[in-house]
Amino acid sequence: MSLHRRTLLKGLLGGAVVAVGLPPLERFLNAHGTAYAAGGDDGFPRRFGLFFWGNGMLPERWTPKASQADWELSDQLQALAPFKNRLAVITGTKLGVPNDVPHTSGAAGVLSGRPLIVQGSNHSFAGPSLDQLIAAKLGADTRFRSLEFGAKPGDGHSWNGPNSRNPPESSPFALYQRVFVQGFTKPGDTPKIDPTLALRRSVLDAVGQQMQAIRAQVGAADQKRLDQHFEGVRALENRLARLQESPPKLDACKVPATPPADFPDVAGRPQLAEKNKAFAEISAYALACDQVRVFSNWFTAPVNNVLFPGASTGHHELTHNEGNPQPEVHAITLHCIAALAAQLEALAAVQEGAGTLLDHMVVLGTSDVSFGKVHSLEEFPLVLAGSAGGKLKTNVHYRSPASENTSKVLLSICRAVGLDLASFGVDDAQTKDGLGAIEA
Amino acid sequence: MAVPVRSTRAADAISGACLAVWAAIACACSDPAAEPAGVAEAYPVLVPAPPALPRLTRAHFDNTVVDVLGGGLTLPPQLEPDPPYDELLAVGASVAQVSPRGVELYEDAARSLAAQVAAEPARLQALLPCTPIGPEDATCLGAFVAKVGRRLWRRPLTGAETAAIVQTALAAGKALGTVAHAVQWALVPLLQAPAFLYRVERGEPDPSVQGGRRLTGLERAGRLAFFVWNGPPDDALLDAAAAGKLDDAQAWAAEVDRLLAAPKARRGVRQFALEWLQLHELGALNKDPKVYKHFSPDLGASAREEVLRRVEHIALDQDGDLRQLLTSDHAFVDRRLAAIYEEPAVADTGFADIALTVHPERRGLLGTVAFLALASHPISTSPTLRGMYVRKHLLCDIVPNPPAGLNTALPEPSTTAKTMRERLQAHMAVKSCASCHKYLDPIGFAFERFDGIGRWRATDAGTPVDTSGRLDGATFADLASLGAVIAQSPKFRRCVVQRLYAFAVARPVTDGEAGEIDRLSDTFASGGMRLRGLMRAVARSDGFRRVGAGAPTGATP
Repeated sequence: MSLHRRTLLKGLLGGAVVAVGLPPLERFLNAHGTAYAAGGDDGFPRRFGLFFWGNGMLPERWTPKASQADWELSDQLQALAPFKNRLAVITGTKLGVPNDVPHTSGAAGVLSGRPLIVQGSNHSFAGPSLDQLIAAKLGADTRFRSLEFGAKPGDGHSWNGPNSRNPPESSPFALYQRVFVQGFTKPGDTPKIDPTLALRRSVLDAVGQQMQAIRAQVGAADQKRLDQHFEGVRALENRLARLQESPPKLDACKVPATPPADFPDVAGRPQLAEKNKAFAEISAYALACDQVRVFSNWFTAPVNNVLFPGASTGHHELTHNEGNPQPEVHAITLHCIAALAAQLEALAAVQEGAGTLLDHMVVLGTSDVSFGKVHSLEEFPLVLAGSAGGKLKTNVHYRSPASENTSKVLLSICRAVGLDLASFGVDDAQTKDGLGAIEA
Repeated sequence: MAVPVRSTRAADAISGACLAVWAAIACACSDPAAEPAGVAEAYPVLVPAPPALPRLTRAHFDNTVVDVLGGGLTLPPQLEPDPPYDELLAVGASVAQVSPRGVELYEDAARSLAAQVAAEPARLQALLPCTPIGPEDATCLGAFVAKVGRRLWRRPLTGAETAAIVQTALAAGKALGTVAHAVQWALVPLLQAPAFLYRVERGEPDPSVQGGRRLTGLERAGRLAFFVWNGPPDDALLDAAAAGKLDDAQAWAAEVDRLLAAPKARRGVRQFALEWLQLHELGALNKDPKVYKHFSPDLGASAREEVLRRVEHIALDQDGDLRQLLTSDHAFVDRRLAAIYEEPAVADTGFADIALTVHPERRGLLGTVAFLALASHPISTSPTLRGMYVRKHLLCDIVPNPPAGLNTALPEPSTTAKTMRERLQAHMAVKSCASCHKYLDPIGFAFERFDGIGRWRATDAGTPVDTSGRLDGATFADLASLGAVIAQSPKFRRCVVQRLYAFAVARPVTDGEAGEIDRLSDTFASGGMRLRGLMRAVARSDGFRRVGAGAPTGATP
């Protein structure tokens, strides 16, 4: 679809600046947040959020006692109590990937369903991570394809494909600037005329053409690298085309408060909870203002050695070195789940129609291992929040009776947000069926 | 794309997840037969690696901006990261792909830098080769694009390329009204072009080798400058390349020497030290301040600077033997490091070269905060991590990941096992642990008189520390003598060469280049292990100059 004719700015390069009013596009949302077309059954667009923390949990204190409807939150999930009726907790599943590189293999397994590519000390996902797989479909209509951020600075695991990952933002202030300041037009407002947008697009167009010329001169592996780069250039070009559009007002949209520029360590401890809260609010309103429909929150990384408040040493170190029953590891897991709760709280605070933003999306909370001490890929931690507009069951604990493939849950998520996938994962991690127990 | 066959083999073996195989690989760490003979024999014939497409690393990007647009600009806060590959960032940038987010970051960076240049009349004037008569002066804008573009792209622009950029600049000048805007929008496309972000190495027929290929003069100029200067070629080097002068061996050697003698060679030496010794990791140094009173968040930066200065000093100030890096009894310290070394502070700010007198065991790299703190845990030392660092980065041994599912817990102190050595003995009793730990821990015990951030301690858990051990058959008594053992090891010598060569070509090294590494190792040894001489030898090697067959046009995997 060519968007050029719909931009407000016309004929800049010819010297004349003319603002043109246009009827709303089909992909815009109306004031109530429902789509003119192409949304879910309820009219709201589908969204997806990933919340990832490193180093796993303690399966015995994680797993809720009962299954199905009469379930109760376990020790480690207590922070999620306000959202219990919107959760689906899945336990007892197993990743179908080899555990070649402790921690990283698990992250690749749960997020891509593919074994990690290992070349010496370089490790790469073999395919896109869940957030990017979904963004390829849900990210086409918004200003940002996806947003990646995380309280603990790191590389995250948002992969486009082999050797290509999206670096997460680790400053809430920087993310705020990106989403709500630079180039932001609140839905319903008329965008400020920006004559540089046409220039930027024409530069990107030229860059794309130059890349095609170089592509013909390099080997196959480098062609792939250029193709990936080219895709990013085209995506940015398309997004710039949107900046002069005038989407209608959105009731749920609000510009959140500016976060602090700095979160200095307190007593030698990073302020991860506070940073995460700021990220949660920004991401929630980025969705509510329909600037993006997919985010990934990399709260902490696999193998992270963060000194959490009250902990005697780093997280990773404790998972291996603390004696059972690992009270400190338990306390850190509670911090991580509290951070997930903060993310959910921000999403549930946004009213959309008769429900909340959280109801119209699904958030997956997961980690790189289950029991960190032994890098286990069984009993994998999976928390789903939100029903994706009624596509997923909520207020349920499903306990797999026979170590089912974790990929089934991932496939259910993909289908719930509107992806038409025949299967998810490869080899032992492949599945053609979702997990019926959580599908509505 | 070249594939590092050496490391892939190891990885394949491990993915079998077979403990026996894994143990066998670990054993290879110290198999004396695996050591190079160190005798100049017939070297395996060079099979040149196929052309690569290195992307500018973060350091390359920043230094190009500084060298071409001038210092004092605010550099982008974030760019596409450089993931290490074969332990080096420069190699990783040849393998990694630019993500959609990375594209945004490059675009932001280009616009921000161009706007900053346009906002400073003096800088603008210095960059312009002419005085534009107005924002529509296509001739002067064209001269600007040709001049600055050649430096940024490391090659002359074609007429069509220049014209296209001038068109953008003219459009901007017309819409926005000033010369500064026109120049700004000439820079924006120059700074995000693939010709800027990537080093395209296609090669050309090599008249000296039947059917062979070599990098073109311009491609070689770029490779040399990014290697030696960690930045772009200057006008003189580009002029020489454009005039075809670099194809002459003597002229090439003269250019190599000119670059090595220039102050900018410090950047190259420092960047190599940073990547080889993993000093970039010090940015995220994480220690519990309750355990380590001398820890502060900027300790990592001080520790990094100390080692960078040491390498710089040995390689360039002294043109000395690189083995001093492991044996020197001097240290570059600021007040923070002096306090940790228990030496008197020299100056309120900055670094000074001091003789270490308080603890004579503290010697060279292995006695620095950089090494001792980096290869430790947040609250304790780690003989395993320290041994692993020595194996991986100083000896280039391949250390596989521990098998998944193993309980890798550091054994807790007990009444019978109080010291770190005693606690780790538990690993030796378990075959699956011992297969690797026995190649790592005994090295690491040498450092046990230095705590998790590098402060001296005579005892561990109240017991005097036993620091003696063996490395690949040689015995050592403590940190200082271990440093001497490593310095004499042929593996250390070859490791430096292997890393420097990969850093220089900025792509994974292929099996066909093993002979080059062997030959350069011998050259390095016979030259007294001088890093500058080794850099010269690498830059003049056939492996640096030649390239394999180009990719067929339009080839797809």
